[in-house]
Amino acid sequence: MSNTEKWKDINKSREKRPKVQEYKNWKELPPIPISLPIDGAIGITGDWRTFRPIIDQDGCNKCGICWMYCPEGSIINKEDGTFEVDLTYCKGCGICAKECPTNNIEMKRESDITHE
Amino acid sequence: MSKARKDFTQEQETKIIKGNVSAAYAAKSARVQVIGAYPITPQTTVVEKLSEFVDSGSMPGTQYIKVESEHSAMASMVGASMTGTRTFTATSGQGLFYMNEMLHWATGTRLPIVTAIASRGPAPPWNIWADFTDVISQRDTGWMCSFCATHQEIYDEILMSYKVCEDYEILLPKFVAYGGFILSHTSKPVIIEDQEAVDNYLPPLPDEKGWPHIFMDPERPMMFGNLIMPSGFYSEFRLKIHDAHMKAKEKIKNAAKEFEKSFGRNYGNGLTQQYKMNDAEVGMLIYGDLALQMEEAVDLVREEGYKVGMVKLRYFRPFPVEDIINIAKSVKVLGVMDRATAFGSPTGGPVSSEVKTAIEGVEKTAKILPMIGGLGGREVTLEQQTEQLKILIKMNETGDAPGDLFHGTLWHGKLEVE
Amino acid sequence: MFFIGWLVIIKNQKGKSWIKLVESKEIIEIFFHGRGGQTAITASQLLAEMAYEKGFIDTIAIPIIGAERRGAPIMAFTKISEKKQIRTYDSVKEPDYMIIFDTSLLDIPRIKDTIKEGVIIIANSPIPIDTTDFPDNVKIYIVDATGICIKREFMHSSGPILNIPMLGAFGKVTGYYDLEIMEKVLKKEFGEKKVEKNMIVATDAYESVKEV
Repeated sequence: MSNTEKWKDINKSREKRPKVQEYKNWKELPPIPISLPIDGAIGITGDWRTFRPIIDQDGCNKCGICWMYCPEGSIINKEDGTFEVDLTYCKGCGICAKECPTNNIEMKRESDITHE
Repeated sequence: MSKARKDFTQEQETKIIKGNVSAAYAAKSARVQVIGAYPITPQTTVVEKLSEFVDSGSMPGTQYIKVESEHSAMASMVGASMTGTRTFTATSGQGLFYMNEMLHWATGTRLPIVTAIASRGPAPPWNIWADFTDVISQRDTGWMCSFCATHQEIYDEILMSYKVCEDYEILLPKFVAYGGFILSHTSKPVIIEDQEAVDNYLPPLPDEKGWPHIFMDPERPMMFGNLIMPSGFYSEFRLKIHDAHMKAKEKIKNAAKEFEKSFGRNYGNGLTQQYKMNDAEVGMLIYGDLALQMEEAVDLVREEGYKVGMVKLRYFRPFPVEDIINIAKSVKVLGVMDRATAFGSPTGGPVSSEVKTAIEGVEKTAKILPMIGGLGGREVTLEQQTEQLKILIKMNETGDAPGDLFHGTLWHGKLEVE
Repeated sequence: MFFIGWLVIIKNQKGKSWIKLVESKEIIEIFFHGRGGQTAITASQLLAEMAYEKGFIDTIAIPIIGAERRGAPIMAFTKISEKKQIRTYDSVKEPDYMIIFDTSLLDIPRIKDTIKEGVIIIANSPIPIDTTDFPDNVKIYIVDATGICIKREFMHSSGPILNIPMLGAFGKVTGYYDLEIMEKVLKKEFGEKKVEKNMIVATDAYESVKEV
């Protein structure tokens, strides 16, 4: 396959598609700009974080509102029904803490956590 | 999907039909899968005929979407085409202008939508008659654009369009324009081809996999229409659209060649079609319905012993620069007749301005005489067309351009009341 | 056809290049005058179809379309050609035949002006039409199409359907097609069911058209 046909892989099944496509120049590009669903399309956003959400598992009523509201999909719904923050991609926006109906998520300063 | 659509029936048949009906038959022969259209004079009978076809069951499986405006018509075409279907719509003048935003969307997403345009003059003053300003004003949307001179050509050109547009190296939308009323409402014999022959000529209908670059499949999710930052590949994607236009020239030539092989009708090299140009000293470049009548005028003037010829411009986008250069080199005077306006442009006529750009820097080319006439459906008679050729002959003999030019352009057939 | 050629030679003996004009008459031109709703535009289309069915190799029906309303003067043209490809879309200036659906139109000066020397007129009228100020060599046929339609109750929502009797009369006068061809085309156009009544009025007109 020539370089210029690299983009035709996107037509393949989900499993056979490449995870990331890289193009060097305009000739290699697909006809239109597209995004394929992959983890962290624009990088590891976890290092943007200055405040970290801490879920108090004891007070959590497992409603899942944090999971729904998280703009980055960084809240993981675990098999036992509890929720956990994926710190690789959590950028610390605080929306989960704001939306939590039981006020059970605390935003803690990253520097404080490292000092502990 | 394509298997369920085997029951389209059509044997080769000659019908006396309007240009609009010819366009509808072409869509039927091409087995279009989704039609979304809004009626507007003079295009109305295209959609009337198509809805009749769909309603009577002679286009089994085809979806006809009733929309509330031309903007929605094109939006529905974009959406339908994204799912991997062959689509068709038609419009005219103001309706086309209303589509404008979605036209850019169709090019940007590289969807092979074919749209028939029964051209009409832009308002105001209100006008519904032949004038190609409507389709030419969409020049920079990135749509391919061709003109038809006969009823048969409308049918043939729509079929050829699908062949070109759906080529995986091209993937561009296209206008097929013809003069409102002059072609759309007059009736002439048109050969409707055998369904099997058309099926063999056209590429297969897109299957469940859709187009190679864009599809809507939950199993293979993708996101498109994304934002590109200034530092991203924006200009590169634009370059790719231009690249597709440049590549399309070869494809158009091939499509015309194959068409002649399959159906026996010749359309020059696809981009341009010459008439009696071999020994011509004076030529006329002309497009749309006027081109057919100009053939008659060329014959009449030749009977008087003048060596004149005519070139029918079939494609406006992509613009056949190489052909134009060859033509301009082969004659001494070349008239360029526009039935459209490009206000404030170098010549006032869109095609003549482009011709001048095309031959820029080429040595020993013909003198160009830009002409404008027939605007807003004004009748251009055979006598007027012979007169136009004689102006070019006189220009060749004396070396002088005619006296009554307006900023270098001859506005022919202006009304002057005594 | 031969007849037409002869007419043109006579007509153009005053002019200089008569041979060329005879050649250009390979294309026969028919001019329709009617009023909105009198179905003149459909007539121009049907005539093209019948001529093609008869064996003319090329035809074109040209309606002049503007802002029509019931009763407004309507023009349409049909060009038919036995051998030559028709390559013009322009309007007919010197018709060979003129089919007039409504003789009151001749009171309008600009319509009367379209009658040219040598033309053959087929008019819808029960009585001979007033030929004052007509040019020379005009041959006139009349047929009472409106009368036929009323008698046979061949009407649409607001009046008689004149195109069928007028075309029946035209077929008789010119011999370009007969009733059999007419029936074949009408069947194709309107379906089997409606043809019978159409053919009754067409036959009436075919038989009753007369020269005056």
